[in-house]
Amino acid sequence: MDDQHIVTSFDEELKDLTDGLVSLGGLAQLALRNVEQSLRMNDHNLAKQTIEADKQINALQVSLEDLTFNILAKRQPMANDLRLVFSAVKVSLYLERIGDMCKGVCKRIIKGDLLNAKSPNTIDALVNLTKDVQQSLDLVLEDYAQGKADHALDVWRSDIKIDSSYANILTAILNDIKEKPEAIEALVPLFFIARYLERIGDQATNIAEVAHFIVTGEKLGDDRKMKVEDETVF
Amino acid sequence: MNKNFSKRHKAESRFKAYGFFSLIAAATMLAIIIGSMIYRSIPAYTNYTIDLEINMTEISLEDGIDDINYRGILRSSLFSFFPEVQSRSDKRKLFKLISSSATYTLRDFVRENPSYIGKKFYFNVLFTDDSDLFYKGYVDISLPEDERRLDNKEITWLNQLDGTGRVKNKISRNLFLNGDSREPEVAGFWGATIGSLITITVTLLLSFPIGVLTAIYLENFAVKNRITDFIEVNINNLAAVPSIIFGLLGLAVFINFFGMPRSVPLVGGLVLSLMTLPTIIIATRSSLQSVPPSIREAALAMGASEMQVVFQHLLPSAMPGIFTGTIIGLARAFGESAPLLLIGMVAFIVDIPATFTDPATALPVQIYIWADSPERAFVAKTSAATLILISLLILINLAAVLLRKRYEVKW
Amino acid sequence: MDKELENNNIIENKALIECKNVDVFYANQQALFGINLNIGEKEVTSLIGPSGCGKSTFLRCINRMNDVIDICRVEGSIKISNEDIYHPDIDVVELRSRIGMVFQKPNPFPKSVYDNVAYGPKLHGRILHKDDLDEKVEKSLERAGLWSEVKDRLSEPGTSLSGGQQQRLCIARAIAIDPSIILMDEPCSALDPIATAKIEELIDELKDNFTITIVTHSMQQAARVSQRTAFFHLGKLIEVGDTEKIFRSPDHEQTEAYVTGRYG
Repeated sequence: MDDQHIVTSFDEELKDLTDGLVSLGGLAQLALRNVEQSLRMNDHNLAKQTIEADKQINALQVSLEDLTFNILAKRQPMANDLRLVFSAVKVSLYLERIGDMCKGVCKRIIKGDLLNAKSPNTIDALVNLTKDVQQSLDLVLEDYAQGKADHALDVWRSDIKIDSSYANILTAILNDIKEKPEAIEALVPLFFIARYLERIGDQATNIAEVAHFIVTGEKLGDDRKMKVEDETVF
Repeated sequence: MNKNFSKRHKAESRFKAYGFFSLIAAATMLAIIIGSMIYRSIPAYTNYTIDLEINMTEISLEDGIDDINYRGILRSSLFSFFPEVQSRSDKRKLFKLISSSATYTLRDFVRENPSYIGKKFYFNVLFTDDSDLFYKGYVDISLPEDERRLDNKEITWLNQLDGTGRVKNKISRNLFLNGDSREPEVAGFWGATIGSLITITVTLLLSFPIGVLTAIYLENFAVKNRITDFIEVNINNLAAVPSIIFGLLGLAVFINFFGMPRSVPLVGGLVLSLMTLPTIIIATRSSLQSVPPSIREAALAMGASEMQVVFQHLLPSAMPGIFTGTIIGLARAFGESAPLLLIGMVAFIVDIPATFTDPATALPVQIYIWADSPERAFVAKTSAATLILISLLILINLAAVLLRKRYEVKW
Repeated sequence: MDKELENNNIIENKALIECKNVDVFYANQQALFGINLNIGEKEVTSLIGPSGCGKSTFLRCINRMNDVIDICRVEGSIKISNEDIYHPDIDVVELRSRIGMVFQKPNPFPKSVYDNVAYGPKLHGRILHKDDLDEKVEKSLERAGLWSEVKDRLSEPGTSLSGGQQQRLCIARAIAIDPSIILMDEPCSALDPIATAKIEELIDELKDNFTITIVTHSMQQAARVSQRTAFFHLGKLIEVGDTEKIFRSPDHEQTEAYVTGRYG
């Protein structure tokens, strides 16, 4: 993408699109960082701010969608341009969903009181899961911003780790519920939080796949995708 | 900026004004030429005549129609107006006032209408050119007697004749229907016109097919090499060669070498076709070139052969241009006199030609001959013949425009 | 790259036109360099590339229209149904009667609509009866999607139709000789978008019966109408493959740069 289009305004629009996605990514990263901090510190104020900030993410996603619409209508992009524009729609949707899920996590934090769960290990595990997910997201967004797919496979693999952490957390929470049935009201939100975090990880993987597709024009192994879909179903 | 614009606008209107004035100038010149030609030709269209009383009561068929003394009859009829004229020289002078053709026209009339023999009747007889011009007011009586074509005596007689009420001004049929003659009142341009038409027919029949085929060959089939380039340059060159050179060529080749007869339209047509060929070839080639190449490609791609492309597509589309070129070439040949002078078509020919090998002259040559004649009456005839030539050329060009319109192809 | 080209060129048992190492020279200047391209039967192959890349020259090799140009020389082999069309025994006129061609500018003959379509069958003496000829004309015009528009104007000159109609008339004229191949040299470049859409629709219908090769400057058009696309650049065949692949993710950088509008 170093060489320029003959039509400069096309280049500018593509740049606007990529820049918009990068800032959308930045907002998603910020939301995820806030989630991590809120979890760790049980910070309800930060959680509220994060919920509020999700509106910004949604607005930016809508404006990016408009931009892609215009580019498709005016420029009829081909080959790598087509892949870029088409995937921008997908990536912006994934990022928007990450925002939604962060919002979901924050809502759970505010609703119950994490401390009532009396399960500091689970909270720690959730914080660690968040960190893993954060790392994946950082890597894929870096890739995407630079138009590379260097980390795609790493992210893809780390998703397997995220999935197993998620499974472990689920088991731990189930055990907690069995041991402390009285704390069930505080434990169930943790269950949802874990589920949200796992799904954020899935979105990061999806973005990695998109980045790979833009660069190579090929899709990452379909078997993997099937697996991801299977897991998100329940 | 504004100054620049107004300067440009002024330059533009000045340019338009120049163009307009040149057009006016050209139109004025043309109007003057045509106008003066018409004015000068007016005396040619009519001729003063007199109805003479012909007395054939004492003559019968047995005398033999050809042996009748027509001249004597005419003389006595004329002299009956002037009983006082007695001397031989005066009588001769008096009889010379009417055209010498009168004797022959009367004879021809009686031959065709023998029933008039033994009767008394009026016969319309032409005056000579000099008497005619006097009646038309072209003789200046104020001049001294010896500087006039008619002396005082003759003028008195003519005035006396006018007083009889027998003198009439009639349309001159001779001008339109006769061949050449030494007597201006008898001479006409019909012979020359027919000669011209026969000549031009020969030219058309020869130069059109040869010219068109040559052009087609050069344009579509000839290999482009030095020889064809050389031929091309020569064809273009020939179009600019003075026509008299073609006359010399015709004289040397057709008459001296091939021994063809002189003064005949066949040789005239041959010479003129040599002259017309380059024009037709050039016109045909350029109209063939102006057929869009896409038509040629379309036909070739449909599987037409080169010859089919030429005859089914190129030629029909190029026809209007070819017609125009041919007609312009023919019009030029039609108005040409120089080459015809050299091959003897300048001879004095009274008879109207009927075939390619009858001696003939052509309109432009006729104009040349008349313009060269000393008689005052030929001035008007020259103008009349010129007008006819111009009218025929306008007709030919009109035909070119019509043919063009008729066959024009819109792309 | 060469290996990839080889692979792209394989169309199992479907190649109607096979071109091997085709070089074309105009006098001493080489216009095409070793073109290896197979064109599949009953599908649309589009040739794209910047101006002067040799795509039209290549198209004209297929019906030997380059023969008309004295200084043009074609080397290599072009086979149609396994028959070498540059073999000395091949009659060019006969060859062209099997291949229809449609040009950039609509070029109907300055004759009536009827005579335009009847020209080919009459020329090759294939149809002798007037009734059969009428039927052929009607059928050809119908296939070209023009019959309903011109059925009452058959005796009007072909040049009086609109640009798009003229082009469809040219297509009708081409299919009236029952060709197996139709070559189209930028058939829509002189037409408005509606007329263009009609021609594209027509191409789509015709591909069931004819092998169509189309040169086009509009990449969108190539993407819309063709099943396979070949990209030419500077007289060389850079890439050939399924149209979808060429426009979604071509193998060659030059192809990508061209289809995305980065140079041309």
